[in-house]
Amino acid sequence: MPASPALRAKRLLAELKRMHALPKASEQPAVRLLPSDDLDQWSVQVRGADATLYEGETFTLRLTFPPSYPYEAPEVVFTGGHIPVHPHVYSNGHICLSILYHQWSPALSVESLCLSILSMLSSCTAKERPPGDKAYVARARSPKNVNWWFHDDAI
Amino acid sequence: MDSYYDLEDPSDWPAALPHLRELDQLFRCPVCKEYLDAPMVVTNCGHTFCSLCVRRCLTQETKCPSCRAPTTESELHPNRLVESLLREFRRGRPQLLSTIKAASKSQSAVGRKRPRVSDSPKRHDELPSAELSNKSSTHVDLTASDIEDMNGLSDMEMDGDESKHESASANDTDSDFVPETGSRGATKRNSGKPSPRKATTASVACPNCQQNVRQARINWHLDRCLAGLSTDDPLPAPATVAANTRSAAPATSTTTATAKLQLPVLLSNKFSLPRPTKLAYSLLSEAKLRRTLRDLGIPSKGDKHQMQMRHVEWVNMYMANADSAFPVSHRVLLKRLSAWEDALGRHSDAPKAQTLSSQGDVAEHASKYADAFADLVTQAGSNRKKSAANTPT
Repeated sequence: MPASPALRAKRLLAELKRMHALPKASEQPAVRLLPSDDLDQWSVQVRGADATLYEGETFTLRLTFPPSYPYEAPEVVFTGGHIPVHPHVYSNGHICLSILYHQWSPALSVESLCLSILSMLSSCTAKERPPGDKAYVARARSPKNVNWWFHDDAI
Repeated sequence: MDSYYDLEDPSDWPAALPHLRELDQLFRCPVCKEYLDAPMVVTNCGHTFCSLCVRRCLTQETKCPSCRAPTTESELHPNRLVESLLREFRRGRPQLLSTIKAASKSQSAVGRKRPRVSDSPKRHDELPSAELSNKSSTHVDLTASDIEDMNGLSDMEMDGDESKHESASANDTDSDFVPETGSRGATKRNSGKPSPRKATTASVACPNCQQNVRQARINWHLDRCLAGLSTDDPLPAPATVAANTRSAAPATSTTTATAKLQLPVLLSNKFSLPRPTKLAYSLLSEAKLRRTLRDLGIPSKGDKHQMQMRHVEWVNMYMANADSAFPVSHRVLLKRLSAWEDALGRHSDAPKAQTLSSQGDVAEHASKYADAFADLVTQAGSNRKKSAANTPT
């Protein structure tokens, strides 16, 4: 069911304001919103946390908000040339993370999603692609049309 | 739609006051990020949301949006305390913000004169909390003029509220005279004692909800307030009207008689539509659903899917309105329903419109279908000729 468009716009504006108000304590914040003209599609830069396998690396996330946002999850993928090598991230940028799909809740937000992804990266112990990466990438179109099977709660 | 800069946001508070930022954040619904509207608590997990937001979520999935605990609508209960806290917080918010801004300005200007204020950041924190608890409290380290400013501000605020309230009820022409009658009766009874400054508009704070209520209406307000009923209805209960009629001067009795005649009509008009129930849409035929919508008094146009979506939204809106401490009339609610549907229609049409958005696309489209357009023009021309030829005969 589509959300009320007024609610969607207001909520996106509120989240935008919140992203702009994020503490800019350091020169390189963990999560940074990249400038964009489009309210329906955002780009967010996340930086690998210190003392993890991704320390010093930066990645770009693309968030696309469906008309029924916030009752439906945004589509979140890694974009750009640098896709993290991680057992839950396919080489086309698709992310295997339950809260992006059936475990989404309207109470989550862009900020909490980015932090969850950052935490997923941080808890990684070995940099490797998920099994069957090539086969998946060859046929995958949109991550939201995939039946994800979440089997690994450790990472 | 609000513009980006008009949004009230936790970041309006200075970063030096993290507690106030957090407080502002806590008063917001996790779903819509706005201040809670008719806050409802999910009783089995304790999370609180706007009534409409949580009802919309539960129609999608019967889980608490915050913790995913299984939940149904029967487990929602109004969170009265949060509602009153938020009302007072929102009332004081602009005043508090401007006071803090003024205080920080004067601090930076005369920082050396008042070292105690500028040296310890704790003082900074104390100012708002003290102001929340007691506006004229003097244990905060402020000059007398600061406190005077605050009191002046609060008086202004109250007067503003009062006049807003007055004009609101004055706009409601149907019902304006009824409270007037009541207050006239009250003034008459009070005539032996020294009359207050403004007898007809003197207001007292309700001991239950702290809302400013006109003196003449406090008994009526208190009855409703304690019973948990809506207190914004400008009409006193019929019993009060009758009591006032007896005590009022004979000159006013004619107006009261008219009021009596109109009262049931007015009350029935405001909340006239029947309470909708959830339906098992798959078991209903299109005709039956249409009939149900007509019986409920909401638009019954469109196909089954559209009617179903409208009914779902109407049930949520209706129930959320019933949860609110200040429910709007069903006429207003119907307008909101149609506005919701209009916006939804625009939203789903938007991608189609976008395909021809740029000038180049339009030109390309025009050249591609030039023959078809020409055919249509000649066809229309011949049709017009035909009808022109037909009408004289």
